[in-house]
Amino acid sequence: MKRYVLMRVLKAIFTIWAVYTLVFFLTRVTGDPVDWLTQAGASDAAKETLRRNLGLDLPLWDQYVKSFVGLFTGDTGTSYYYSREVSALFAERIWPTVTLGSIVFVVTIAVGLPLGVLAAVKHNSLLDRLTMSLAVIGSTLPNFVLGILLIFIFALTLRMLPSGGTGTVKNYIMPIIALSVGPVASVARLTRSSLLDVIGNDYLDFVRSKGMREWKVVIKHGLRNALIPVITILGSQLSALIGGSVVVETVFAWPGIGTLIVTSAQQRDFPVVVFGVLVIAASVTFVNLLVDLSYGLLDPRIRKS
Amino acid sequence: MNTEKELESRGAERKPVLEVHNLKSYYESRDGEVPAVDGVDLTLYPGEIVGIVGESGCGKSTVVRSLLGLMDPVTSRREAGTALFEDRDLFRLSEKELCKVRGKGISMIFQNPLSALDPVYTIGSQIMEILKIHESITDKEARERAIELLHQVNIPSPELRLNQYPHELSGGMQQRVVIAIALACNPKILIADEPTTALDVTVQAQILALIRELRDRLNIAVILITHNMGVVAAICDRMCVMYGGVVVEEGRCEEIFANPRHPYTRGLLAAIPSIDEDKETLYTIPGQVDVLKAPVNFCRFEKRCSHACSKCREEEPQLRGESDHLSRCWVFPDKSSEKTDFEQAKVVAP
Amino acid sequence: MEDREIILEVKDLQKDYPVMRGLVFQKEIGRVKAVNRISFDLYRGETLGVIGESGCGKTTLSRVVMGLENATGGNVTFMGHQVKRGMDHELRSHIQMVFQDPYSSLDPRMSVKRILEEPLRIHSKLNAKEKREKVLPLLEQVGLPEEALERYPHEFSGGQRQRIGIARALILEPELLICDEPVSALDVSVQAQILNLLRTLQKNKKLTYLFVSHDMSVIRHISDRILVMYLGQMMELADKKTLFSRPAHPYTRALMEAVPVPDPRIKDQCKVLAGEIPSPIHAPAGCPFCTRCPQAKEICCREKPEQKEIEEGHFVACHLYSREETL
Repeated sequence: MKRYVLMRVLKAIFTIWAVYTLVFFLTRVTGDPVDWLTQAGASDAAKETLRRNLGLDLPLWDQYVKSFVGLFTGDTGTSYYYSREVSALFAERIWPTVTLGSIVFVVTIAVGLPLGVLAAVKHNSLLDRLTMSLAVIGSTLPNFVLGILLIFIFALTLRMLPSGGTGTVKNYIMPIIALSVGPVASVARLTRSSLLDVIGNDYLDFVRSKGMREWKVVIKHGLRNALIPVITILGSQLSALIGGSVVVETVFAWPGIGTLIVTSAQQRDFPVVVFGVLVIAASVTFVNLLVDLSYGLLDPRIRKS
Repeated sequence: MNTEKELESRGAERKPVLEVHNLKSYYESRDGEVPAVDGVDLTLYPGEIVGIVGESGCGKSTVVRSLLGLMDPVTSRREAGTALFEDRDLFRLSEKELCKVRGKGISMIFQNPLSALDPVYTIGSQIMEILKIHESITDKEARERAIELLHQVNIPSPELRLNQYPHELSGGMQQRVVIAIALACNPKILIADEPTTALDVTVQAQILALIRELRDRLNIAVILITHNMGVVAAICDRMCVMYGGVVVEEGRCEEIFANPRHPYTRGLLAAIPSIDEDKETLYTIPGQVDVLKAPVNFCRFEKRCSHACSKCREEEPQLRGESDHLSRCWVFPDKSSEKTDFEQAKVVAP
Repeated sequence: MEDREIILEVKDLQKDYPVMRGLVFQKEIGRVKAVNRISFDLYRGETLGVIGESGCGKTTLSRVVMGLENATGGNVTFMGHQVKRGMDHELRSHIQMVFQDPYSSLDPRMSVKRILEEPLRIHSKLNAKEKREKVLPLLEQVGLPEEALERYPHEFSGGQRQRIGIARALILEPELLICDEPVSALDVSVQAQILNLLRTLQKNKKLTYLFVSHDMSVIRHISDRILVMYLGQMMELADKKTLFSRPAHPYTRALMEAVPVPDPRIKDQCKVLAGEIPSPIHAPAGCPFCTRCPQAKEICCREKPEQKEIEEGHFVACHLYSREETL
């Protein structure tokens, strides 16, 4: 098991490095940031000075090594556009994103799991069919489409909620809905089908024949066994959430790292984009690592092998 | 082992521990209601092992699952019947009251012990769980009781087993654990649904011996469901043979094995290859089990029976005969019909 | 017996499986000997019953003989040719198999007609009419009506499905039929039908059976000779009469005594053999049965007993019969 954990961590580190490297070189293909930062008729000399200041005159390889080594010394580079330390920029923008993400994650579990359990216990009932039809719609609707739809209805037409920005509780409602409908739907569907598989098992009948009350049978023995596939989907939903927040934040003008990365990409602000992708890649990898390791905690058969 | 006398003396203080009357359990199918169990009576005395024998689809599992309310409420329903246990009708109990009977009054063990144990909890916590459901007991006491229980079912080094998971034990050990759990709260009745079918023969012999030993020691009543005539003969006192949702023959095992009356019982016995003698060709019961539709007003075995007469097609026979041997057949109802020329019809070409 | 033709020769057959540890970089930490030095001859037209409990290697044995897996050691020779994976098509068609589970061994999306004609399509170039001429009589022989052809496996009962399985195995007119627990998933009355059918077919088609089962009474009914296996090794091999009248190996005796007989007059009938089958990974060094054997001696745990012919055609691997000690 120890060996397994070590291998997984090494693999994760490699993945993050590979993503970093790939994005670093890909951004350079998109064009020259100096063109963006200078005004349309600026002299070649002025451009050259700016290029030297930004360190863009160095050979590509040197730029890569410098920026990569910088990561370990705490030097994350300077944003071309904001002229500020990239890490400081992120430190400021990450909280809105983390807050939103955490709420969405909690909502996913708090709504998705119970819905799935309810649908499984009352399977083939009206409640079950209703939840599952909604879940199908929910998981097929892309979150940014839902976001735009919500803005159109609640902000533009009904004028009940602000269309963007942050600050009040009202600002949170639409982004949370837009981001959590998909994960809630997937988790509910998967919990239901996974629990239904478990419910047919003899061990639930055996626990019933011990005299345990039905709801406790379902929670203690049913759900625990049904949880492994659910955790898997939860992990991938969380990864998608981190990626999806980039787009949804832009839709709602949410001042998080998602918006930051998108605007920086438009402005060819390479250090910000590369670091942003690094942060996202690291969090996705970390979530997947947690998911894999949690199997062992849930199922002794995996733990001992 | 019980001699006849012991059985008799047990009979003297006899008050049934369970009396099932006219149990009917139907389930829905595409073409209507299927009578999985269609009017079964069953009386069980303390300290006796009653076997319910039959092939798949005869309703033997449905009988016992209905008793504990373990049927799927969506697809099946109990049509009629009473089941008196400790002066109460099990079928009239609320879910909450029934939970108090399950595990404490009536316990059940299953065919496949590995799938009967929850894979993600330790053996110890699964034993302690049942104690905590029915008794207010501290963790420490529960642990001690669990060790004692494992000891009782002859599991070596029980302290170590408590922290193991089901998949770490062999099939025989798993079934012993299941039995230990079932017996934890000293139930009056143990229902064993094909308890040895998934086990190897040598392990089967061990488990059967264990069930018999526990019966002798605890005076518990056992309902044993099986398709194996050998298992019935080995440990049961009385038996019911089921076919098509009804009991077609019931009585003392010695009686039935010596003088089977119902053509189905006879066919079943003749169809078993013997370990003691060589038969050139095995007797086969022609045809196959029909899916019936309620209500049934003919003999359920009539289509496959080589002795069927017109009466069998017109009216369903009732259980008749002597108190220790009943048969549901127009042609072979009682003692006088036992030796009728069944032997001659024994070998039917395949 | 000597003048009968040997159709299958199994010599010193050994099949190991590696035991792996580790999830990413797997390392072999040991080998399980699923089949350990088994030898026997199979004569044309006879039935050799292989009996044993779970983990005894009987299924592995049948898979190797069928050529589904390669042996780790030793030889399987069928009509003078070596049996192995990827062997000659023509030879392969002479060995067929009937599986335990009639529910999972038939493709649910194929009609019975396709199931039965599939082997013909692979092994021959018959046209539709010729195929039908082969399928129809066979269908009748296994006791299925002609209408069955257009139907699908799920429309049949367990017993009928096993009949389809048998017909599929026989369509290429094999010499050797390997039956891997063909009746253990069936009800008693249906089991009797299938056993009778297998016997009739054997007589009519001069088939040779290798019949694997865990059920002593079924084995006794169907076999001419019986091979008793335990933890991958041969314990005893003898013809049926000898084995049942004079079982030599303590394990054979224990196995026979453990079977409950449908006669309640014999009370206390199943004699209980203590202990359990050891895990094949930790198989005992000496005789595999030494941990449970009531007659085990000191030598049994130390040394593997050699196979010994104690009377003609009666082989036993047990220290009780080795060297100076005889019956």
